Amino acid sequence: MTRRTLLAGALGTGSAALLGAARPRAAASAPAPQGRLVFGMWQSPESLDPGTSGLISSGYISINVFDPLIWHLPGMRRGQEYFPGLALRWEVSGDARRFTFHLRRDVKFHDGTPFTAEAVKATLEHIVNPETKSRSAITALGPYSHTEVTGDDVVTIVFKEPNGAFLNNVATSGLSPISPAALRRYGHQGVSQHPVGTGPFKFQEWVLGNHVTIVANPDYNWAPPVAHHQGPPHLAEITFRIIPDASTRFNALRTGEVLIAENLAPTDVQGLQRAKGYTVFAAPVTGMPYSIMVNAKRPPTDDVRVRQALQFATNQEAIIEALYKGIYEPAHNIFLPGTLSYDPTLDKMYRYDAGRAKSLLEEAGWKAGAGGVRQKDGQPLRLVFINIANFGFDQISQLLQAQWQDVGIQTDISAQSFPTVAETYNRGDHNLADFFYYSVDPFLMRALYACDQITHGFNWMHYCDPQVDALVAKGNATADPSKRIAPFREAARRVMEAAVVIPIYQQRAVFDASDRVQALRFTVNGFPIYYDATLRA
Amino acid sequence: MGAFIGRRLLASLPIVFGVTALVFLILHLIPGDPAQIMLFGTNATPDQIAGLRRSLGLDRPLAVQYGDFVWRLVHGDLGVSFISQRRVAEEIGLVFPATATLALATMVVAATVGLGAGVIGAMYRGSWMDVAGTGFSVLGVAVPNFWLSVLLILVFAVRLGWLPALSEGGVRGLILPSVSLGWGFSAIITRLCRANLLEALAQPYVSTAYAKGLRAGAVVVRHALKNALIPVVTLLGLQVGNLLSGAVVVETIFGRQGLGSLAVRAIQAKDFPTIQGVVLVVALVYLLVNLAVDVAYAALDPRVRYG
Repeated sequence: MTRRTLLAGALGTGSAALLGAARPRAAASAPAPQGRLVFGMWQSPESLDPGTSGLISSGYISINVFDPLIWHLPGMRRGQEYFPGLALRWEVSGDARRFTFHLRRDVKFHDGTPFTAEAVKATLEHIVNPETKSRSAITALGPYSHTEVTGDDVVTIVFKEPNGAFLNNVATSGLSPISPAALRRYGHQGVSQHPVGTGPFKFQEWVLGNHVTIVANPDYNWAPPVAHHQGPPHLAEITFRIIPDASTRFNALRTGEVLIAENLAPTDVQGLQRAKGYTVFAAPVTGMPYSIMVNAKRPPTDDVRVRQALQFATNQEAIIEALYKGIYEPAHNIFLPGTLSYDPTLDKMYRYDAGRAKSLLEEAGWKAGAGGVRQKDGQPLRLVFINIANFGFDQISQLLQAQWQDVGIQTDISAQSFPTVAETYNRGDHNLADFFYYSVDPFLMRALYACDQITHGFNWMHYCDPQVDALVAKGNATADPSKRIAPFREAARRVMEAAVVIPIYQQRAVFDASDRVQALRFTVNGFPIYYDATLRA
Repeated sequence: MGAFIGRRLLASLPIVFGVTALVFLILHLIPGDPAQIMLFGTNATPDQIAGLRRSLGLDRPLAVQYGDFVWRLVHGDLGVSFISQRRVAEEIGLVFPATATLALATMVVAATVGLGAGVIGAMYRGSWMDVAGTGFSVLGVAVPNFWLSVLLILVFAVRLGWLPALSEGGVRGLILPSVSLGWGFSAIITRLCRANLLEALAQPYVSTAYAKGLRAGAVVVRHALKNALIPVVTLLGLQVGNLLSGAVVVETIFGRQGLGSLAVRAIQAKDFPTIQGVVLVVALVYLLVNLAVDVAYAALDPRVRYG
């Protein structure tokens, strides 16, 4: 099943449930927003400025407080993926360097400031200002040059280099316009505590380390056309309660202190799927699946036959059955389905086949040895597997260890905490590393597979193929999705043939909620959109 | 007394700087680049990472970074958090009251239960109440607070629905966290209080007090307990460190804001200024509480004089 069909299925149900309720209400005068929803999230936001933050927890909030220029909502309407947000229409130059947006003229920020082209310019200049210390947004923005304002309602964003990924990136919360009056009033740092956007909810309060509260924006009247209603949101208030401990989030959901919670233990999710009174939302996300990265430089995985043998010796289906049954699907591709340029034919390249794994190892000179471990020149076939501690890979690595043992590979597993492990990986002390990567665009390949990302980036495979670099650059040289797909697919094929990534499972954004929570929808990166949501009494 | 406090405060200064120097060194010796962590998950180029390192001041030599930290510190400036970009002093100021409240509530639980059980155990030595109190304290020392927290949530929040699972403002939200944290301390106090009180009750002045016709309650509280309390007060002071480290766990489990959860977030993100700020505040609290303990001796025991 592809992601598209899954999403369509999920939305189909959502729409059917809403047809009776929301549509007719929206036609008449909308009822006043009501109900308070509490969301238990594991991580504290570090900033509420979408232009600064790099954390998902900040994105959860800002996608409801800020509106993007355009919305990327695939699967909601046949044949259309992008929908007007604050921009009614847009044009891209052939070289993907100039993006022109025609803006709505009826939009006001929460502080009453009218939304104009100047606000777009002020926001982008805020992001690139070194004083802002932007994290995600500045990389999502890419090789920014300047912004040209033509009147109040036309704005052109100009790049120094082709930036084909920009349309997907501008459709996330990171580049959403911020009130220029707020930027002036609070400064580049201050807006992180005083977020003023145009979204359906307004910021109310942030109690550090405890919660963030947003309330309905009564003036909101510029929802994307695929929303189920227009006008203010149905919910009066949303509290994002920070609860770092997974079992406490689960317990607070059971006591009703929170109505929706994220990141619960898989066994708890499976329990709630069977329990009455709860809904488990599993929103597809895009990017790279939970995967094992294989070091192409350090022996013995410097031999492509050994890496391919690992691929054939890996049984993803067995791992899912043991750990994540009913929650996640096995992955066989370096892209998640739904990511632009995902190529389903690559899924067939490696399927569990212990016989093939053994013959590849024989071919590479690794012969059966003592204790079931293969040997070559007196050396055992031993791999160093370094996990990122508390990253969800501990059990997976143990299952893999057993699977690979069956074909004569010994695996030594250890774990290091996050800040430390990144340096270890960059140094290349490992044969096997853990990773996953959310991204709304296949340009994520730049961060993962580029030759210049080995010593200081995320290319923990120590894999360098100049042709992949060239193909990725080509894929980003145009904004036309139909022209972007081919080069990224070709690059993905080369990476898969090099067998430097062992995909394990397709992660999803899983949210467990009381069944009182209705009509929740999700962005492509799995952030809940609360605009249409309601609370059943 | 004033001179004594002043001397003690002066003597504390090298300790505070020693602590900051040690923490600074440890933080910088652990591998892991804060700039890379902050840009984790973004398509950051090496140039962008280097730029962020520069703007955080991490590209300067260690000695310069430490000198800068100390210079700002003596001017009362704890710096700016790498992550939130807020002033560290402001962040600590925002969460400190929550931790102080939890610590006080824990002390109240620990002292009430511990002294009560200790006094009863000593007065009715060998009775069923003594045995129950001893058993209770053995359990309290043996049960780790993170496990107790989860158990209490399951019983009192999920099953019975009497108390909230999340610690919100107000007394109801404080009960479970302070009991989770306080039980272990109360157990130590019970043991120490009981042992010291038994010893004090065997002293000749207690016999004298009885001989003067005082009632048992007055003898125990006014004469014996006062003397038995000195080691207990010392212990309370020394436990402040344990209390704050316990708060890290309990705050996380109950979703409370506070110094502990701030420290956990800062350590995960290698947010140097925040970690240093939290450690400094904890060290100061520890020193001040123990100074207060020394001062309290004088109130408890007239033989103790500071000159």
